[in-house]
Amino acid sequence: MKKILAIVEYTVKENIRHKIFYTILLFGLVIIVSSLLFSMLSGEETRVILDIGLGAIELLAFLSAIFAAVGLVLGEMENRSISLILARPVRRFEYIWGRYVGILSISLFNILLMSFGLIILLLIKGWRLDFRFLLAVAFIFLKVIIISALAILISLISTSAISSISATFFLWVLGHVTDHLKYLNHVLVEKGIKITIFLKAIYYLLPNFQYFNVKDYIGYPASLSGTTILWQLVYSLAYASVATWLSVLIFSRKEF
Amino acid sequence: MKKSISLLVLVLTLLGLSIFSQYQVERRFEFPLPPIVEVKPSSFIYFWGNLLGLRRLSSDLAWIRLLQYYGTLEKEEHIHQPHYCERGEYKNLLPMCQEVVRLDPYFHYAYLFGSGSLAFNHGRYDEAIELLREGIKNNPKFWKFRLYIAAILYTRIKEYGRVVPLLEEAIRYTDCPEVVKIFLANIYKARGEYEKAIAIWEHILATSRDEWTRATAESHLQEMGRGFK
Repeated sequence: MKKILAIVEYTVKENIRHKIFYTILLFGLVIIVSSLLFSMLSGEETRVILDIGLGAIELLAFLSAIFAAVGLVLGEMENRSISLILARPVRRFEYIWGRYVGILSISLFNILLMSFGLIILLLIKGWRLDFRFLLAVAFIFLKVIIISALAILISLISTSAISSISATFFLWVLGHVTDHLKYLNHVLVEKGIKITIFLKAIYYLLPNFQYFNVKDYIGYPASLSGTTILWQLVYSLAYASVATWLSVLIFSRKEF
Repeated sequence: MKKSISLLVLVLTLLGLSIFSQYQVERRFEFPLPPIVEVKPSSFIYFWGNLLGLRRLSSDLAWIRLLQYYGTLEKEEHIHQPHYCERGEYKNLLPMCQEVVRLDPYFHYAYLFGSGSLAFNHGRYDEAIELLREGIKNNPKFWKFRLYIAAILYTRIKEYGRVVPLLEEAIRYTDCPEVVKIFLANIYKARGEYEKAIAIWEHILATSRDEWTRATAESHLQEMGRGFK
């Protein structure tokens, strides 16, 4: 555990040294503040500020997670500096988990800082803090938990940073349309094409980010029950664990 | 080798837990937005917004586009028309409103604004009611849509005596679109209830962000101020 924490600390420090970390953070805060301009055009000020703000928080947390996962793990493998770390008494699973938790810590910091900025802006506009907002922010982090694990897994499989980033982005998009597989299945069945089992397998293997997209149905009257939220939490943690342990499996078979 | 097998067992167990928990979520929760392929968005931006999980933001963008469309003079010859409702036909108003509310079916203000504009500015009562019906279908508990339907139906048959109390109730709420307030002010004016009309126009003048609406309010106030004296 100590070794994992040491790698977490090392990852956080390394990330903070990167210019991209500050660029993303600054960009996020600029977007949140500039949402004021869009809100003036709309007549629905708090709604637009809220939507742009939450959208910016999510996208930038996603980007920072991708760049961190690809830049740190793949970068270290490419420039062989990983050998220096593995030469120490650090087991491979400790390295992967340390890296992963480090990336999550940085993302959490980003999300909290941007959310704080957004809350201040909204409060100035006379908005009242509500549970759904907090849930939306928490669920953005659950998405980041999953996508960071997938980004590390992909960076271990792929050969270049570009292919790794593209594949992760592709999974992010697919994760938002997995629900459409049901619709596709329905259309195909109507046309006499039966590939339900195949589609179901894809449905369960791909991450389903729509479950965590509270920010998209924040105005939906029916609230999520405690049990559903609990299962969503279990789902995200289990899915991320699968991806991370798969990364450990792949990483432990790699030769440096 | 043993290590790899035990890792694989762990991964498979966690995968089982992941599938089971996903099934549990699925049983309890149905995604409350219609599939984007059913919405058939007019712009690829809204489509991409959905793919990136930014559906509500796409609806906001569609909404801003609608306001730009409705806030722009449709025909040059209408520039000198003094009345708010005589700026053009805006044939696309209903489809654009429908796109906004199909991207986000819980965008209450879009229904109210769209139906109010269609009915009270353009006299397109059927279109206004069509939009409100969609609103009621998606938000059965949002009672203001029913209030608007009643007001529109009474306006259609020119039963202004029945419209006034409904609209007086509607304008008490902060999410009441300006168009409804303007319509009520015009009814008051037509009925000779200048004090009430002046109160509404003064409120519009103080709160509206639309320059044209403020100018209209000013001209009405000047006109009534003279008549009132």
